Amino acid sequence: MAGKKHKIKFLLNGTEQAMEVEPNSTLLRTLRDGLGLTGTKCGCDNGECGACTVLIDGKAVLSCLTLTVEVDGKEVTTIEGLAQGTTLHPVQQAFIDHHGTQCGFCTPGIIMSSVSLLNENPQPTEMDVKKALVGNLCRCGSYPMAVNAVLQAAGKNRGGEK
Amino acid sequence: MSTNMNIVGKPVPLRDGYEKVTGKAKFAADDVRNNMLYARILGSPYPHAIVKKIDASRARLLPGVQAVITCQDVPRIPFFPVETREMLALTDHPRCLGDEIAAVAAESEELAEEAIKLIDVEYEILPAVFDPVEAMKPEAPKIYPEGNISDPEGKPMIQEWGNVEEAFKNSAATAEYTFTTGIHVHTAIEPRSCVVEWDGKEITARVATQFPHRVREDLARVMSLPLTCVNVISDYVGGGFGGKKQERYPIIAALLARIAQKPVKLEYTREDEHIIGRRRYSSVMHVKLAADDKGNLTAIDFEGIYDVGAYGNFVGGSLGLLLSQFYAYKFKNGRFKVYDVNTNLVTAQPFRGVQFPAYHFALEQLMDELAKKLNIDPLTFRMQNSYRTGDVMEPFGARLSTYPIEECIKEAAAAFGWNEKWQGWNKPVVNGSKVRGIGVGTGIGWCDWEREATSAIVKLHKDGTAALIIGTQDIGTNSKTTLCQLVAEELGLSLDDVVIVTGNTKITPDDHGCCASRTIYCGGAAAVAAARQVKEKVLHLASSRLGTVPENLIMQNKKVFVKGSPEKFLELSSILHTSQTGECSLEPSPTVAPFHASTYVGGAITHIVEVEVDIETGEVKILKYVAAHDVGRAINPGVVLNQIYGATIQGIGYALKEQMIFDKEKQKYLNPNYTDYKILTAMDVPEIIPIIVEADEPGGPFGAKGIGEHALNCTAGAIANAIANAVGIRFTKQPITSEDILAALRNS
Repeated sequence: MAGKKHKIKFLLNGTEQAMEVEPNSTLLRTLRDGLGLTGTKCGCDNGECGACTVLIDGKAVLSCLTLTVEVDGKEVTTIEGLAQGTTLHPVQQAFIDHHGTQCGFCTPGIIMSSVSLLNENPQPTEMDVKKALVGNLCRCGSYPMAVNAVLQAAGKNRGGEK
Repeated sequence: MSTNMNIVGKPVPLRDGYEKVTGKAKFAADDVRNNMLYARILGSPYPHAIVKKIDASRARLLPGVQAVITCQDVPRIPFFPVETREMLALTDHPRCLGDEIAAVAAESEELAEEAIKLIDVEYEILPAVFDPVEAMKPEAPKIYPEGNISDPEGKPMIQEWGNVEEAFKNSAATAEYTFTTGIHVHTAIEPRSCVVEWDGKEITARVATQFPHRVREDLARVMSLPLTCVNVISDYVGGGFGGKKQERYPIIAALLARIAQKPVKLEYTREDEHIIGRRRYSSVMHVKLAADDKGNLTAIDFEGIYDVGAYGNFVGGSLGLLLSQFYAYKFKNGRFKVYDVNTNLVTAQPFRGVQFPAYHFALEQLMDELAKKLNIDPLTFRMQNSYRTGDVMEPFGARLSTYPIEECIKEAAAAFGWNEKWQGWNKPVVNGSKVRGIGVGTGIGWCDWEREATSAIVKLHKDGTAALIIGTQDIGTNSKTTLCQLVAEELGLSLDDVVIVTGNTKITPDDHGCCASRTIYCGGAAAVAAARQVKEKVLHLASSRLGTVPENLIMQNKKVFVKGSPEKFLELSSILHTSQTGECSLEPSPTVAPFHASTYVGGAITHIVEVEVDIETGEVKILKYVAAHDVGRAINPGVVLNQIYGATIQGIGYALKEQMIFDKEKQKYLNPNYTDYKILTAMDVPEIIPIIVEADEPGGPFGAKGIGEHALNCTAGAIANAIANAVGIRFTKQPITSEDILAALRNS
């Protein structure tokens, strides 16, 4: 049940966000219901499917298992904040160009996990990508095409040498 | 095959890829309305009961609760889903766990949840039955007054031809097993969800569904509204696989919205998805095959019992018997006897391939057993007993359209390295505790179901750009892209010049729905027919100005040219501006062959797999998986590859892992979540080699056939065969788990 609201400040997709939140509100609920950022999806609300993955300080985190109060002072990036203006992040572009998506529901989460991987390891192997995506379920079975898309994006990171 | 295509056949990026990768794609649950309420459903805690008394007064008094409905006050108007029995919006006779008996709408989800707990219900608990064989017995608890067999007279569906007894008597070899398949849930990552608004006159329902037009009919019927006053919008659907069709929940949300006079959102939880969502039919199949001494199949004798759950209907097992697809090989004699039986388990309805994955799980294993007895290798045996293009199929006499099964088998064998790997029957490759075996599955996948139940409108705008307005639904099959490719190709436009309008029942023509691998074949045919009619109209208008007949004209790059004289042309915009119509549009009445016509259209399938079984742990590792599919023509190879990969991956899960476990003592499911119901992750996917085989289908748009379901049809059968070849034991229960394998090895 609702308790005393907490005041927090964090950087959301590059913009400072100050708000009051319930102590039991998850980041997923805050993003979707409070801030209208519905690109982050709720597939299980239980940390099993990865559809709610966002970046906190550049690292992939399940927003359904994160309390909003925990992001106080941190930097949160959602799927809506990946593109620079009209230029898509290379991973986003690769998912379009290489058919990395089918229904698209798990796609935001998969892209956030992939970006997190490339932040840490700009030149991953196929196995590195598979491991990074192991927490992101895709019932359509887009995994082979998604993994390829991430590798293509990494190739572009390396100046297109791949 | 014609090769001068500009857009068809190219792996062009998805039309809605930008929306999908940026989070702008709006799924039903993403919709937010002012003053929106949140609904929760009270489901029965018992798998079979009667609601004796229900009192929601405490819930109604909870501040923040704005609407409550119970089974006692919903309209007594049933709706009629295609694939389940008729239902009321809520029931006073729950027939499965979670069966919907009341619902509330409140200002927050927490309040709605709290209010549900304040509804007092007195149940009379009834005996329940969870096994279809038990449920068929006369003494079984009756789920329906007339009995549990989903036929008014309790009879099976039967198809019989030739003389089966005689064929078995004269056969050189026979094979026979009883197979069982378990509860396999669709479990799309997007839970079922809807947001429904009532403005005093009309309903606008945003619903995650494969069947928007059918959901509209359900809403109109129960709400006593004309179809014009109900709009179902479904822009993006997060996977369906046969699960998201016609259910109670949008109707429940609509009833609540009408009472509260506010928009209502209703979302399933993951647990809801597994408990009161839908699932595949589970089955018990007793099957016998016979062949002569030359290796020709002579007969099949099939007796199936399909568990269709609480509300399943005849579509369960018997539907297959009406389809030529079911009779995949040249059976000269056959007898099929199938019962669809209701139980107190979650309702069954089609799941990617209806019951064909279960059927081929049985059939492919018996094909291997026969081939082994006759000492013929599994590919040759299938090659010998498969139909070919133009063959007349038993038992309906349908003539098979293009069917390049030989090409599928040959290409799959080459990609797999069959000649090097196949060592003969009972010759697994042994390496310590690891034993390798090879398995095969072939078959036909349909795509012409309800072909006539689709039509399309193509509008050509004054600047030459076009809109395709069609009722087909894109649930992740990316038909928004492929259908635009077809129209762009037909009209000589670039892909960017064509938009598609779909998922909106107020605007689009009626459509049966996204199912049965039918969208590209049926919807595509309607889209091309509509584009062609518009083009003919434009060419007619241009012909007098260009001083020639329409047949002498071509439309390309927003111009109409005289053939062979590129200097003689008119801009499309000038034709459309000076025409009387301004914008050209036509809705064709597709003249297409009805179901059960003389021609049968299906895609040929060949799967070959190598597995490695660890005999110390029972673990199965797939080393290589080749999936060859005849798709007529791949309109977009990227889309086709995703369909082959996706269905194969689901099929691997079906073969080895996926089953809902129901504890009959506790009367509860033990694994209604992703932690305990395992679907494959990126790490679990083996090397899959998809092969696209093309042979233009005369009835298909630019030669295309469907593909969506096909790869799942043969996966479990092929994997079961590979396991049997590795360890020398037949596994007749799906899924084949490590525990089953280990237990069987210990007993052998």
